[in-house]
Amino acid sequence: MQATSYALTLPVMVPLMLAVVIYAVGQRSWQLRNGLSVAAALSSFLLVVQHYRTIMADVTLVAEFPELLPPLGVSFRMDHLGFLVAAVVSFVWLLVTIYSTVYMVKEHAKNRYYPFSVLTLAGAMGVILSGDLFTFFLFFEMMSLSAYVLVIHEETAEAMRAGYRYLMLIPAHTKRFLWRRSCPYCAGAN
Amino acid sequence: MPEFMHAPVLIVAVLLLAAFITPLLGKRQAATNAVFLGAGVVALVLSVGMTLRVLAQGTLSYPVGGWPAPYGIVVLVDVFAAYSSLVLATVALIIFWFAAFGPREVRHNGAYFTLILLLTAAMQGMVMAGDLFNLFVFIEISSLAAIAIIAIKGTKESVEASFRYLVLSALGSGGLLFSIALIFMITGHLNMDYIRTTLMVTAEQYPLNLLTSIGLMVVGFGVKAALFPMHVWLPDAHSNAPTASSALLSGLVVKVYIIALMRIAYLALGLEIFALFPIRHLFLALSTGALVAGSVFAMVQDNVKRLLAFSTVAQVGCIFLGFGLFNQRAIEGGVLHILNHAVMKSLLFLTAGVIIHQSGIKKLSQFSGLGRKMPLTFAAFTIGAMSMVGVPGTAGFISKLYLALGALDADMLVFAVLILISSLLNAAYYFPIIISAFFGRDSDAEATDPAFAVLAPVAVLAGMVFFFGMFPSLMVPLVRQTALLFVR
Repeated sequence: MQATSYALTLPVMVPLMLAVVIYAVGQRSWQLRNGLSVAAALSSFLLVVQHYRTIMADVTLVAEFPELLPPLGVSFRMDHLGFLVAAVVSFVWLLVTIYSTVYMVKEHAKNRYYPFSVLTLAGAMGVILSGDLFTFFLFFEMMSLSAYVLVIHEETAEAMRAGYRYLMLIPAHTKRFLWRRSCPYCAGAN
Repeated sequence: MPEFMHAPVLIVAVLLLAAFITPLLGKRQAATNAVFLGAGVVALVLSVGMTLRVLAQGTLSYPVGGWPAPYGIVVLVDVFAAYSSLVLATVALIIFWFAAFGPREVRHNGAYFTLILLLTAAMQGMVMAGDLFNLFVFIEISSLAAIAIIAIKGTKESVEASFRYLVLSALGSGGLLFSIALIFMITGHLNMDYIRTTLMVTAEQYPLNLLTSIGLMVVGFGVKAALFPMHVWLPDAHSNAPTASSALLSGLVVKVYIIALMRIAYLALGLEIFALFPIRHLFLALSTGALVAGSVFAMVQDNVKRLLAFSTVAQVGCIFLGFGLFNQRAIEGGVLHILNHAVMKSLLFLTAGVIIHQSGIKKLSQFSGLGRKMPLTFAAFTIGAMSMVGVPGTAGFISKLYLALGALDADMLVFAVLILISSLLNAAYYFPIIISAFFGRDSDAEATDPAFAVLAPVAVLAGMVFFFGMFPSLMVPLVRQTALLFVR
């Protein structure tokens, strides 16, 4: 059974917006910055888990936005597997964020680390909850690009080299996804 | 409904009038700016009104001075013209804003604004022209004004670049004039509607004349639109001009010639005759060259403005690719790319100008660490660059998506691959700039973000990149109807 639930976008949208807020407050207060980062992961987790009963009642949740980015449109979808993976990922992200508030104390550029970590979470949740390959591609690109900043956090020559290789692979990978996506499109959709 | 009936001529008239007022104001800076920006705002309002009218009531045909065709000149505003006029008015207004309040690069703002206004008026006239000779007059005005806004900087390089542009552009104009003369010889008309109806009868009798005429026309517009390999003048001209001129030239001027050429294709020649000649195949071949060569040349540049100029060569290829593939989606992609590229390339040129002005650094190899010193400026540059690469959520992604879907619709997988390769190439030369600016080692260059008034137009353009990336549906009705003009 399928049911429409626009709350499905919240685990993605809340961290996405909080990332901007975290970047803005990061300059002024580190307590607020760390607190909001944890809150972003926590809220993402809770916003996923709230669907527990619905999912267990064998209901697949969908949210479709055909008007957004025509002609393909954006859609979200959560079934058993999506629920499980989303819950696990956001929970692990919550633990990692709590851990990093202590671990990162001695690191540099923390004001960069936290917003991009939360942005990557938003991308990851988008990938998991995407309802079609095009949405998948959108969030995959968002996740990979923001993860780049985490990859090169050290800013040593090695990290930069690895990061550059990673960055050049993103378009290659994502374009392959888009490619796979368009093949059924040209075969059937039109 | 009489509203905005006179808008087509008023847009051109207001801009022309302002062009003649600004030099009279002499050193009164505030008054000059007011006239300059006021004309831009009025043009935008008229353009929006005209577009709404065209969307509601269909093509607007305006006989200038009340003289009907074929004796008078007719201004013909269809959806394509309305869309182009809207793009021109919007992006030009933001560039005007930057020219008025951005860093001063020319000595006499009054004279400079006159040239910019003349250029904008000519471009507006060109996209709405319904008469070949009227079109030619506007082409000449815009060419001369474009040459002058490069040379006005007064450096040795800019004068040399503008002279080269003058020579090649004059060759292009000569070709166009000859081509218009040949069409007049075949049909006896200059009005596009009359040419089309007459050509249906006479085309068969003069195949060679028509072939020569179309060849000259494609080459003439190709030179002016910098279609590869006729782009040789562009990198020098666009990189040595003052910042606002570069943005105007790269963002708008090259595209106006593409619009004019395509309008001639369906208005004057008619699609049947256009299809008789292998123009589409020519477009496909040349745009492939442009996409690859433009990006490869851009990769080896060390001067930021030259890099952006070569990137324009590649992106012009993208627009021609849309018209070369010639199906609904591909043309929608090409037409959308006219807007999207205008927005993102103006954004990039304006930020590059700000960077050069604030830090004195032109060379990409010295950009290292500059992003941390001027974060807002480089954030805007990053947004423009991401749009060029085609990152989802930005405007550049939408047009590339439509072009790729168009290539698949046309069963030409190779061009979908080409678009993917070109965005990979774009990533290969835009991302290293951003990486070295934000994460590179600190250099000893002194630089800070400029005042808010300078950055405001840049911020508006950056917002537009995201806006058109997220909500392309705003432009879709116009773009879809434009594509329907070609693929009925």
